[in-house]
Amino acid sequence: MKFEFDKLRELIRFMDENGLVEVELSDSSEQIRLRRPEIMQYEIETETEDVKINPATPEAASEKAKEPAAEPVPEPEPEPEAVDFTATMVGTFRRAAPGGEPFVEVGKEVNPKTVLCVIEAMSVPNEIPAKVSGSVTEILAEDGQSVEFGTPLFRIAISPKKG
Amino acid sequence: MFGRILVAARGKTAFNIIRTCRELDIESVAVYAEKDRQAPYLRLATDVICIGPRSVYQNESQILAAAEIGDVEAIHPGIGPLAINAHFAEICESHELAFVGPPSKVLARLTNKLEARRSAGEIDVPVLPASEEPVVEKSASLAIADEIGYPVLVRAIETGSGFGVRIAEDEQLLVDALTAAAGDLARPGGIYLEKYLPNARHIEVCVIADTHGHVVSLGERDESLQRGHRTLVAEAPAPGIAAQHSKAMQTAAIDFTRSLGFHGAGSVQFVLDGSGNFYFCGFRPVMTAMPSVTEAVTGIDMHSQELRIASGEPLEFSQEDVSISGAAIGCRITAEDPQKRFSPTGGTLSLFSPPSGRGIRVDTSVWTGMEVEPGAEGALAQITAHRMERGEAIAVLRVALDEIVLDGVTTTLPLVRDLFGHTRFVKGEVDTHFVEEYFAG
Repeated sequence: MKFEFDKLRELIRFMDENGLVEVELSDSSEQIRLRRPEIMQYEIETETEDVKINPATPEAASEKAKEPAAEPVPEPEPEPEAVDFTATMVGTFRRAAPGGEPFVEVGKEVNPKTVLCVIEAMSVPNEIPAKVSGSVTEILAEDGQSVEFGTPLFRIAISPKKG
Repeated sequence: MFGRILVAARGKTAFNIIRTCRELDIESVAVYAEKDRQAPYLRLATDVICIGPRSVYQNESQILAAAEIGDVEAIHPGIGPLAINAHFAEICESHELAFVGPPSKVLARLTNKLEARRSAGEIDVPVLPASEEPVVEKSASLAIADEIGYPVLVRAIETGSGFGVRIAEDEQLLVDALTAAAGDLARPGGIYLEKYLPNARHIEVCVIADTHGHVVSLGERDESLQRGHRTLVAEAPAPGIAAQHSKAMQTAAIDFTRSLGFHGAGSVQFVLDGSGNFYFCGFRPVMTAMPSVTEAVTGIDMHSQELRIASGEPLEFSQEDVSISGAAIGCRITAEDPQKRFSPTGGTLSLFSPPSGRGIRVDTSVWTGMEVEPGAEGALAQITAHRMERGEAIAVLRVALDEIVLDGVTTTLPLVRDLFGHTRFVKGEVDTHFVEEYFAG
């Protein structure tokens, strides 16, 4: 088989542009199969997934730490990790389905499949699952707000891993 | 005119569109990828919307969602793949968003080179001999090539398919080229063969057409200095072309554009041989990548015209109002290594200092400290010189190229500096082989 690097490069660009993880091309004389390494796969996934998870900023974390300080804790428990849950798609943020109750409120325990909100784009509602287990500590976006890639939507305190 | 538009472009094209919007008092909403967050033009847009981490400028659904939340009347698709995406243009039309470019139906027809050739042939614009249908089979291809006569070009039928054109000087080289293109034969559109004229010049006529049937030529440009079919240097007017040949090409370009029902800004491409014979070789249904030279000699801002056209306004000028003043030469400097077959380079741009001074225009969107990702940028900078005489323009451009600083990244700057010192260039005697011959020795 004779590889042509220009062609391969072209193919890789094509994969990148179309968010493909694997491509297979074949005809009678040759066959090319390209698969991305995992790290690239992650990048691709974030483009099609509904949410991405960013660690909360240090200031935000320290602010949060002040709140439960009312009750003195004898032994400092390991602080639950807080993450900012950000939008990875552009659209209108909806906390509830039309006429319904909000999907989540502060304090709600969520699991990876819990729907947190809807992002509506071109009249299509996209349900956004939490992807993590924990509890919602803050709602960072207003209902009806336009959101872009990276807009913080919720802050979630991650449940410590069991076991 | 529009009140608010979405700019779905990046780099210097986005910069120029946003600039025009500001001049015309149009609000601009720029979409961007997170990795381009620092791009200087984003500060000049009215609003910005991040639509993804990277490689987002062809993401149709995110761009449309941004148009919705951005509350715009029109989308400017830039001059890249999105601008020739007939499907995207059609979606815009169905959502009552103006697409800054031609109607989707015209676009769909134009991206097919065989169709474009047929359209040219129908109105008696000269075309080179070619296979009238896609070539699929080797033996049939060889027979067609014999009929056309070598050398032949192996070309993709679809514009923007990413298939590099190949030149075959004889039967054996054609077999090699077809073998190398085997994967492309099955691609949508496929490939076709066309007569290749060596020692010809590549001339483009810039056309602008409104929705009221007015078509105006903004003169011809010489884009013979190419590498891998990407323009290195553009020059307007094309040097040493007899007035009657220039006129004939422009008339053909206007007739062709009118016959298509095209509106927007585009370029009709011709090859011109040493005897003044010209042949249609393609149509670019978007604004040229180097509008600066045409804008310099005509004084017309092409982006403002295309926005007017897309909003349904008639052109503000007629053919009689277009006059060519002086000579303009522009060149692109890219992050590629000319010593390594133009392989893409990258790194931190540790110092960027653009040239300035009389008669110099710089189109760029890079900055000192920018991370240049290999293969991700088009041109780092385009430098255009405009003076009353061609010789002066070359002199001014050479000085500007000595002035520019692009440290930290290997670029084509040394090559470009060299080209403008070459006697053949100075005399205006270059053809499409020049860059290749230059490297051959």
